[in-house]
Amino acid sequence: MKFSSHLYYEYRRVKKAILLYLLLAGPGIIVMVADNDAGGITTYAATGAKYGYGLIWFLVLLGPIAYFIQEMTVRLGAVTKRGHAEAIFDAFGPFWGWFSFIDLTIVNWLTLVTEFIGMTAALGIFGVPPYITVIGVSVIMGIMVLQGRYWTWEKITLIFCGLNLVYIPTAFLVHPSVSQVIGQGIIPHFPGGFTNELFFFLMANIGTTIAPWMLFFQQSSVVDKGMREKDIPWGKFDTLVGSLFTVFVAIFVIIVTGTVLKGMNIESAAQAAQVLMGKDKYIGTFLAIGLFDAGFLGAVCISLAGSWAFGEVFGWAHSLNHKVKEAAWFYACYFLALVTAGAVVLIPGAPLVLITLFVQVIAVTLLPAALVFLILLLNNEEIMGKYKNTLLQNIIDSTIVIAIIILSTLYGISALFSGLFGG
Amino acid sequence: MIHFIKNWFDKIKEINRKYSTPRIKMTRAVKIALFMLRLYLIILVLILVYKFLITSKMVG
Repeated sequence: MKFSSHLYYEYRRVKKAILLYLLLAGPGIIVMVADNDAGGITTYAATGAKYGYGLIWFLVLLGPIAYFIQEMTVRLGAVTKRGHAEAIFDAFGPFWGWFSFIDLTIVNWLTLVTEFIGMTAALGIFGVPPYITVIGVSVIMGIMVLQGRYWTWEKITLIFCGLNLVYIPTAFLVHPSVSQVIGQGIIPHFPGGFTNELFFFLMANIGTTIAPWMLFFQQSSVVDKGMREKDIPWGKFDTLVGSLFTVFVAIFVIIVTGTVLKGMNIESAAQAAQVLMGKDKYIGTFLAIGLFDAGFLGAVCISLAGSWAFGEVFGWAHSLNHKVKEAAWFYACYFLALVTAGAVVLIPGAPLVLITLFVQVIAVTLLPAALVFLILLLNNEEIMGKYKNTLLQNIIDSTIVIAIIILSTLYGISALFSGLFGG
Repeated sequence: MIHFIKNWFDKIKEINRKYSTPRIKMTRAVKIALFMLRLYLIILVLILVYKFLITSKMVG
């Protein structure tokens, strides 16, 4: 009797915990899954095609890196109830505030264009004209935010996050050798030696792991969701689940292209999907759906990150819980970014390659600043109180931030001077 | 239109006033971090200018 009542008690406790998590889950998973955006999927597809399963171990390392950076935004958002843009203005003054804000606006808009490039290319495989994709995506994204509740927006977005798992059945369809995946992928090594080209691929993978918009998005999202200090452990757990999710997806993309396209030079995920379509239409179709979903999630998060930042800085109402007439400027920013970025993709002869290149370069001007501000804010006792970084957190976070700054800067420079690292 | 632009400038001035005093304590560590950040951005801008100049030279 005592055992059964204890069992029932445990069952109720676990059930309650799961329900509470489902209620609080969102920002962490969404930001991490959206991290595997169109550019990210392209990088993983190219990495798999180039090195097979040889760099899977490296992607596993990127999970904790993303987690440690993003969990800081959860604490900062929950404690200060401010988004990252507003927090920078408040703590560091107008110079750094405007610098971060203007840089974020430019990077976000350019990244949004690359998401549209990914989405139009993915649906183009099925014969959907680009203008239909742009209009369709804009309408769906409009409906998602205009319903007037953060909670509903978040749960719809989580469904799109689930669609990102399409890479898992795709990986099973290509029948990879499990022993080869484990043998070649898990033990850290540099396939073919540490060449310039390999270094370029490592930098590209790091570059896709942490993007400036992610910091701004998750912090604003935590604030809009209304998370409080007591919710921090759940927010951190949510981020941890998201980081596992993102690593799994990345690994399965690598397994797909590493099995079927090994030895090929892949320029984009859409190209990979096109080639795979010729080999097996289901594999190609799944890859294209995954690419579209990746671009869509990226676009959802990036356009919101920008609108939240505008609202925070200019003092406008900036919550998804507001109706259009209550937060007209917030929604105007959202749609303006969406429509203009989509329109660029439709312009015949638009310099899309140049835009993609520019994203990498401009991002390295913002990312170090945003990361340094994050560390400084998390070390300020007046702002963070008992939630400030511990010594161990500082050692881990500072090491990660320095490594990211060095590698992403080299990646940005290599984008400017092609051939510098063999990329 | 002029009224609209003036409103924007007023808003920007208001934001600058609101955040004119940085809240963070300017300790030695913060000062060093901000100095390094400025240095980093200056070097990056110089690299971008260099790239722009050599590209213009090649096109010319």
